[in-house]
Amino acid sequence: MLSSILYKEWLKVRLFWGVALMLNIGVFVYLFVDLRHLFTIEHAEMIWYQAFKIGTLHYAYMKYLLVITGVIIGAAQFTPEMIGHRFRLSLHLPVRPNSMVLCCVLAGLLGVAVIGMLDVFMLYAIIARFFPHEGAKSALLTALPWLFSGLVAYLGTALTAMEPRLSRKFVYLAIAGGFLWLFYQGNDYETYNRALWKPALISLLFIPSVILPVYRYRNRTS
Amino acid sequence: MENIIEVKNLTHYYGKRVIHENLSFSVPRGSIFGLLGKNGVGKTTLIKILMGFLRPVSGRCRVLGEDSHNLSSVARSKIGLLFEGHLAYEFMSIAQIEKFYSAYYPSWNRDLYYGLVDRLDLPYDHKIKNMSCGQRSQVVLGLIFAQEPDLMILDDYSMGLDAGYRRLFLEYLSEYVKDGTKTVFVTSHIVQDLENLVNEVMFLDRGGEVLQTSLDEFMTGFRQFRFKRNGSANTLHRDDVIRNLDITGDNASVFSFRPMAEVGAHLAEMGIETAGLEQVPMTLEDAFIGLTGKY
Repeated sequence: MLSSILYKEWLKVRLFWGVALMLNIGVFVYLFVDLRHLFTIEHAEMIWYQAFKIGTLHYAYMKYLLVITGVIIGAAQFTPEMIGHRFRLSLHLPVRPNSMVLCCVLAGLLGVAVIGMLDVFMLYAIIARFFPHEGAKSALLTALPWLFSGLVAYLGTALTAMEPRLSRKFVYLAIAGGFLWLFYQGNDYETYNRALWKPALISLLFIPSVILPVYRYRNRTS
Repeated sequence: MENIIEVKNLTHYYGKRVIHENLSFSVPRGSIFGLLGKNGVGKTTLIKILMGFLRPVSGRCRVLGEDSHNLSSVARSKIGLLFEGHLAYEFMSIAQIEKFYSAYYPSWNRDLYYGLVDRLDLPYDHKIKNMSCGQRSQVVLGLIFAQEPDLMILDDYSMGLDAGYRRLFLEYLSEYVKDGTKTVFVTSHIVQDLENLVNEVMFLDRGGEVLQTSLDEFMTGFRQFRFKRNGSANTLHRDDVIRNLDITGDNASVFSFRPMAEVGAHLAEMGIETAGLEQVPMTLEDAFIGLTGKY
């Protein structure tokens, strides 16, 4: 069952996953070019001062990158299911509905996580190209909540897309927005070093919550 | 005989509008059951309830012996379901959708699928979203036949199909049911197609009125009588004897489950002149319109 659902989800999102991948790679190529340009026009001591004394985050424009990625993949995965009530096709498959939806969500999370891992690799490689290892490691720790927020954005989009009732969709959007807000408190280096596990743990509740719209979909009266 | 579908006292509303009220019926194994009714009488709603996509206000529905709202995976694997509008995963191609569905059904018959789909003369990588309605229906019906289900539920299979596709589908369906163990529950806007297919019919009317009968009983018991219209025909109205009436041009028609002598006497009692009263042969479509009205 899992492989068959992964196959279906891959067919559905591969184009959008590819677009999101290109977007992420494009942003990191820009980061590389930007840093190279900076080191060409500025003295290295000045950049060091900006980065480690003033606290300038040279890679701040990747802040919402994985959030956008999560929204793209979540929307690409579940919007086609809800248009024309195609979700019924999936619910009629001879598998338990909750397991089926969790498998779909697992597939989407995997898609976001793969791009997130690539982001981690690219961020480390680019920062380490211009700064010492400690600087690159610090960049990863700083960006970790932004990367985690991509998974939350994906789950929030999935939950919202699957909900049959419009008014509840807004409620879920607001909840997802609230969870995302938790990951964007502070603009300094390594703000979440000792605290990330708390919002991360709470956000895991999003995974079983995707069963709720399935239950509501199957128990509609109109 | 074992019932494949059993509905008891089903009641459902959309807001205050009654869709079904105390609806009870059963579909025996091996029957081909036609659900007929005009637009908006609740045919699709009934199928949604039977398949667990809607929870009824009250009543009990059992499909393959299980509560329709909690069908097990095993039960669903025995039900081939055609959604209204030939719903399909449109992002898949002909080959991809076959590969996807085949993983779920133990007795998957690949040859049946490609037997239908090959007639389209399309490459297997052709996407369903790029197909016409008729082509998509062919793929969807191919998928349902390939499941070799015990119960086929077809919600308006004829929607968007031309005569050729409809005929082809009916041929496949006749083949599918010929051993007498498979059950079909079907709705269609093309009532005429069902005349040579179904053996049980249920007519749904607005407000939850229902008539369930065998096709033979209905076609022999429900009659149309025509006579020359005159001024007295203006007082015609429906009652226990006259189920429906139709006045067109110089002719008046009444539809009834009673024999001609009884209807003639009843009309005379009403003071209606019935010059040239005769029984008119009807097709299923004529009878359907006679029973439910033209609009």
